[in-house]
Amino acid sequence: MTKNRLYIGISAGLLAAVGAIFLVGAASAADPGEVVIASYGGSFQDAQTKAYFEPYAKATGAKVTGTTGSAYAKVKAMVESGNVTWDVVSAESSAHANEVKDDLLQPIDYSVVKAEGIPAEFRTKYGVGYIKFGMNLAWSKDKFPNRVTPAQFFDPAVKGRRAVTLEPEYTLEFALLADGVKPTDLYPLDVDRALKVIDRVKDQIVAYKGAADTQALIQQGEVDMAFVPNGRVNNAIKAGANWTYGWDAAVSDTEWWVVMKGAPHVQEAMKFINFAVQPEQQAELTRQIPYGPTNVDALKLLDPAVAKDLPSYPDNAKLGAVLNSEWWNENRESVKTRWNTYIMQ
Amino acid sequence: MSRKGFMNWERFFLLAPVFLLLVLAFALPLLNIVPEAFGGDAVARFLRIFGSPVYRTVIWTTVRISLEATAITLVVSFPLAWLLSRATGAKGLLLGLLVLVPFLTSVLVRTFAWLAILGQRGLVNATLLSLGLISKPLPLLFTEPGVVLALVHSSIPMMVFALVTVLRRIDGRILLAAHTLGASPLRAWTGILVPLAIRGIQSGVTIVFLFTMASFIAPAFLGNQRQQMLAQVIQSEIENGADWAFAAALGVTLAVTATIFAVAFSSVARYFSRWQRPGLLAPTLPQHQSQKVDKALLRRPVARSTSRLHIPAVLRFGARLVEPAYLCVISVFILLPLVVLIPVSFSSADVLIFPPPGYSMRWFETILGSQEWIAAALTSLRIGAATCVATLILATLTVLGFGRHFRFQGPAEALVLSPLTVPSVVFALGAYLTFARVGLVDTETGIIIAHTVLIFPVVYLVASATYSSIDPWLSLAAASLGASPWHIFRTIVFPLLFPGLAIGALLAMLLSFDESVASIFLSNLSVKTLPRKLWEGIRFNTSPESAAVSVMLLGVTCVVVIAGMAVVLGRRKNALLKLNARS
Repeated sequence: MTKNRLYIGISAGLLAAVGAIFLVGAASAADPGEVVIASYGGSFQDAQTKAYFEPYAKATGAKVTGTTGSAYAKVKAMVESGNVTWDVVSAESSAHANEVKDDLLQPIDYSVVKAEGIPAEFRTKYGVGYIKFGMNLAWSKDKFPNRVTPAQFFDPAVKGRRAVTLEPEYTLEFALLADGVKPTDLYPLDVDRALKVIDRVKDQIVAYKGAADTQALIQQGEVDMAFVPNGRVNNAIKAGANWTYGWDAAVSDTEWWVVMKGAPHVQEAMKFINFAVQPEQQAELTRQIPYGPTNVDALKLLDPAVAKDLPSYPDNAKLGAVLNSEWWNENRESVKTRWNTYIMQ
Repeated sequence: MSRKGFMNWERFFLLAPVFLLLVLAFALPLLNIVPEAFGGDAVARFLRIFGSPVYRTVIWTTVRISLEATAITLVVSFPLAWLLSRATGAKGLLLGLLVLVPFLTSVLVRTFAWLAILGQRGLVNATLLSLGLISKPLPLLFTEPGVVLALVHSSIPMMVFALVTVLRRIDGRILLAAHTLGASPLRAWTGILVPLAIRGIQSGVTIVFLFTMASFIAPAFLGNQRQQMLAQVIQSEIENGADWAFAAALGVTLAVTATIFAVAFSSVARYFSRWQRPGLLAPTLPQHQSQKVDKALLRRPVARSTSRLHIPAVLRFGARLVEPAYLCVISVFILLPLVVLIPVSFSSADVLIFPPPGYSMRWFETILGSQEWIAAALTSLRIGAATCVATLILATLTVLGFGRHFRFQGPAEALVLSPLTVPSVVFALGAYLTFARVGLVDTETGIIIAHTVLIFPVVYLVASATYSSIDPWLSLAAASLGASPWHIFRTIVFPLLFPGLAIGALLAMLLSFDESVASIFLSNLSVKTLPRKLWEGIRFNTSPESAAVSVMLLGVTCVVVIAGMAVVLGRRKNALLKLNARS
């Protein structure tokens, strides 16, 4: 009989514990404001969290949730299904152009978003450009103590494990620039020629990964050369990887804040974007990850040495090219299908 | 025994909740995939799958990798299953634990460990470099062998379990008889063991093949573009992409391909086991139709078996070492991924290097101090607790509902166990599509429901095994003394069922905590379970932080296993004591 009571006692105790866990977890106060921001994850998102999300949450008391997986396809899926859970999305030019074309975005409320320091070309109807980043050729100094030129990246005689982007953007331009095409003659892209150039080293490309995954590969020592955003490789170097990078054949682009159509917290989203484009916040992000701020007032707050390492620095900019999002807007579908087939073989 | 009317209402009400759950939360999501896949422009969609070389390659790669992994697993696990089926006492316990413990750890953790083993600066390369066997690191990651290796490692427990159940029933004296008749060990194995175990081989091969076909974690972490597998494409389509209908079409393709192969395996097994079904003998006089018996064999003196090859004594001694050597190798292989994470998690470096350059506790400090990880752990704990309670209640109701004699026990049991047979990625896909319509995606309730469906069969099996060991006469005696059914349950059935339920509870908690596939599909923004956070952590950031989390998960598994063993051994001791007391 006592054992019987023991068992019943244990069961009752467990049920009580389960109930307690639920009560503990479910306790949450009502929040004044809330905003969900989608970005790319990894060290870039960590930098954004330190420079934008946490200061904003502290300043306004709003609940800021950062999430990953920002991509044109996902934005399109959400808006078309009517189940929009993101408010603010960080989009690169090509994605931004596609989202505008498909009418997936909310117009930016410029009465709330006051950004005088940002040039007019980065303040469009549906988005605010907030950083300029560059895709650079980076290499391991252990394997290649001397510099690696873009032509050497595509030279099969130069043995090394290479990583390029998962998407065709930037890599096709890089291949053409490495093959000698001048930045002014880059568009319309000669996709056949680019794929032939990549073919030369295809068997030495071990990974087609996104930005965060490529940084992980660099830090792990899994690759010897990579075509990667300059901020990511900088963070990898800060984390101890013995790497360096160059500005030859770099392809630079702008990253935009956009607000999704049908977002649950539009007001808060606009307030957040206004906060994020202020000079102090922009300078803080550049200190965390060396992407160029679009707000010219932010440059004044930065160390001049940092400015030399940004994609917008004139000496760096003239060695590379700028992505043409209109061309990608029109041709993305067909090129992506070709690219997907190509990298599978 | 009272006569029941046409409809046994007691049984109906006991079994109703379970079947309601299975229909609403399991059958409906699975069936929902079909209209999603075939709705709208179905022809174009399927043409896109079968017409484009990309997806054809993906399907072929999936099938090829699954077949390779299944074949290797079969060859590697068969000896282990044999040894386990013959082992008793401490050896049996240890071997059983060797197979069981990896099975109870999260598949994310096990696959992640291979990154630390196969990486450029991982265990294998570091060892070979320090031994001077190679001059520069071997490219082991992002290759097909890497993916196959990880899949084999994850599949060994399932194959062993399937084989052991069949091998256990084989009488060991058959092998002795074969030996006395002069068969070499190899001949004995291929001629006797394998044919007798063909049913076990078939079920093991089918289970492992279905599992590897539906795996996406191994190719996502360890594979390159060329090793993309179907489940991985489905998962990335759901996570990053637009086209649910396309993902559903891919899911249907996966299910159909898997079914085709399962049927093929079944036919092959039937062909090889046709000796078990000799069919009717022709009704003729035996003297005329039977073959003449070779009586010469009876006249040959049966002496010590002389092998045709004169194996020197050294080699014969070596043959005795085969078993320990094999056990050594297989134990190292099974335990290596679990063990390698422990030193890595104490590493002072920022990346997964083996051996670690220095030791520090910083990663554990980071996790225990991080709000996000603790929130994820609490979420997983809550979901695990709720799943545990739900599965226990459902299992008890089902076991009581089936009772001792149930006419439809066979089909009903098959229904109840069906979640175990469907690849979890197909179920997760269906659950995602269905739950999205009712707004259950990204909620704890949705994940609890999915986990309950997936884990309930296991708990049911444990409860059912315990229930069948309870003497039915006890309940009848109590009833004849005037106890009501509830009184009988409270005072007799429940206390006797309790140890089984305790083990079931521990299992449910553990499996829910470690469950990766459904969690990855069904949680995203507001609900972050620990496996989901680990998945993101490994994807975006291969630092020892993920290793530290994995080690903590391993620790939890070990604690639960020890608790479970304490319950089981306690029961056995009690039973022995009672036996001794009675005699």
